[in-house]
Amino acid sequence: MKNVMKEIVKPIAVLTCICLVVAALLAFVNQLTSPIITAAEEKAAAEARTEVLSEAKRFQEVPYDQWPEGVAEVYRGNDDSGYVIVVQTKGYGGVMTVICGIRPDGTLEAAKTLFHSETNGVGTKAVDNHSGYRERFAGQTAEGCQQVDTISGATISSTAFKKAIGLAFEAYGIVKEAGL
Amino acid sequence: MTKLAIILLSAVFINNYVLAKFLGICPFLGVSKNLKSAVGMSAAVIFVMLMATAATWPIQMYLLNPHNLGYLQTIVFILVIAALVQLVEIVLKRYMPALHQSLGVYLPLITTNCAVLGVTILNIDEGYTFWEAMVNSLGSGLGFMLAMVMFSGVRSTMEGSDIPESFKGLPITLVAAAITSLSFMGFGGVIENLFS
Amino acid sequence: MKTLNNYTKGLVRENPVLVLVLGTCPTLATSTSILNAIGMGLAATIVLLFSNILISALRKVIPDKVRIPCYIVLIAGLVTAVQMLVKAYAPALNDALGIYLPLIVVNCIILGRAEMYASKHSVFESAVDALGMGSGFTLALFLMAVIREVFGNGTFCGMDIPVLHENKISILTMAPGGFFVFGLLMAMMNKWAKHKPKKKDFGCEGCPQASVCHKTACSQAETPAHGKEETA
Repeated sequence: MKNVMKEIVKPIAVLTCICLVVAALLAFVNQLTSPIITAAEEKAAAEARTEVLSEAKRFQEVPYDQWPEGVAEVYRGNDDSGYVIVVQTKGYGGVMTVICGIRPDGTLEAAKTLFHSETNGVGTKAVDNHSGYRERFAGQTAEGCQQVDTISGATISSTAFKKAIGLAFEAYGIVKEAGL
Repeated sequence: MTKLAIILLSAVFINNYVLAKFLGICPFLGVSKNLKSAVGMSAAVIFVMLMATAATWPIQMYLLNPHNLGYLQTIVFILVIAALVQLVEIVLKRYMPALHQSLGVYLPLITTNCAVLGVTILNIDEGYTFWEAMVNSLGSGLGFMLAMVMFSGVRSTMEGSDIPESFKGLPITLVAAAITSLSFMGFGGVIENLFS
Repeated sequence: MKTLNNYTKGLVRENPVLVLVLGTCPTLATSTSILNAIGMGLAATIVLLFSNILISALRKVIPDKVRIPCYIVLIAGLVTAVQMLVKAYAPALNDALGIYLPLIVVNCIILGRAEMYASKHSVFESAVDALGMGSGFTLALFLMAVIREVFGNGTFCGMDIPVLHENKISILTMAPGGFFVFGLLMAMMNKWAKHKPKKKDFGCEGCPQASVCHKTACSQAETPAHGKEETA
């Protein structure tokens, strides 16, 4: 009987106790950190939005679920300042998330990648800030953006970026047409 | 169907767990000395990956997420995997001794194989559905196997070569792994365009 | 003196990465930039320190039979806590380390030290051991990252280096470069440590599974695997 206690009950009891204590402590840490995490995430998202659409101060998500495939989120800026559209395409290394700001006159203010896994030194030419490729789209209309030449040597990455902008304009068209 | 095919092929070739994501390096370097053990280990990894995904995906979606317990993910997953490996070992030993003979030795090593925990967490992070997650796990396991099998070939070729003294052993193995990994980089961007 | 020795052994003589060959996955994956490497090293060190202290303190309470599950639970709990704190206070680091942050759980160094050291030594000794091993891990990561970032990206902690920035060897920051630099570093270690010839192979020392696998899977893979013995 004593053996059973020692061989079976004690290990189970100790393991259970440790699990419970660890879970309780984690719940406590989670209580402490989760508001900070949410706030930080929201702040980062808000900063990214203002970066591509400088006029807008506040944003509101456009409620709609028939976006073309690849369009993730669409936000409307306050007082007709334009729209910010988050799009996902596939680059060379995997998913590429692009955020585009479109002004009310239908031109692109700026577009930048939020996330990408393009090859360092090759595909990154299409997504880096100082490569000049992203800047070629600034101020262009939907047609103008499609005229931009992709980078030879980084064709897949630059095409993915261009395609993302095309998708953003597509979503913008839907918003305008449906008057959302 | 196309999406599943893309997930499978990308997991095998582009995002190869060993050669591109650096997950499961320990068995890759340790057990790739000959073909037989390489295949045995990879088979065990594929098996455990599929089992682990089948167990952890529903746990995350139906148990943790509805109760806002997402933060317990790591701890729950590792325990599930550890328990699963033990269970599989006991079952194999009892009912399939032949399989246990060939896979058994590798099973205890798999609990702390980061590729298995990695695949279960990534399946959730990527937002895959159940079947997509299963296909991704299968692909990741097959990719692991491909890398192991290829690399065991590379290593057996190296065996008789004249290697500089300080490179003998692990260093030259790592350099060979670098070249094997380089060959896999050529697959990038191919799969997406295969289906479009 | 003994304490100091206990600390420094982790740095060089028993460096967990370059000598014991543990924790290779995070070493290869997060050494693409110096800041990531230091972040990863610190995160792992913190987890290692607390896990060693806790396990050493609880070593009399934890029954031998369930010790590995107990260690895993403790370590996973610590890793999750660290992960939440990093997410809250250093979100950029969280994005950079990605999946490798939760994967500290299966970092062989941590479970290995718990099983090999903390379960047999006092709290203070275990803490010193953890700091030594953690510093050794961080040092190895830092060395790898310096080589990879300076030559692969032409930067040091994000700052451009004049000549190298125009002539960068991008491949070093990619997957093959990781293996290659790791191989070179290890060859250098071999060269320096020549006075004590030891043909280095994949190490089972410190592997948490060493007691279970009897080296059947790892070291003696060339001999056909014979049945595993019953584990206590």
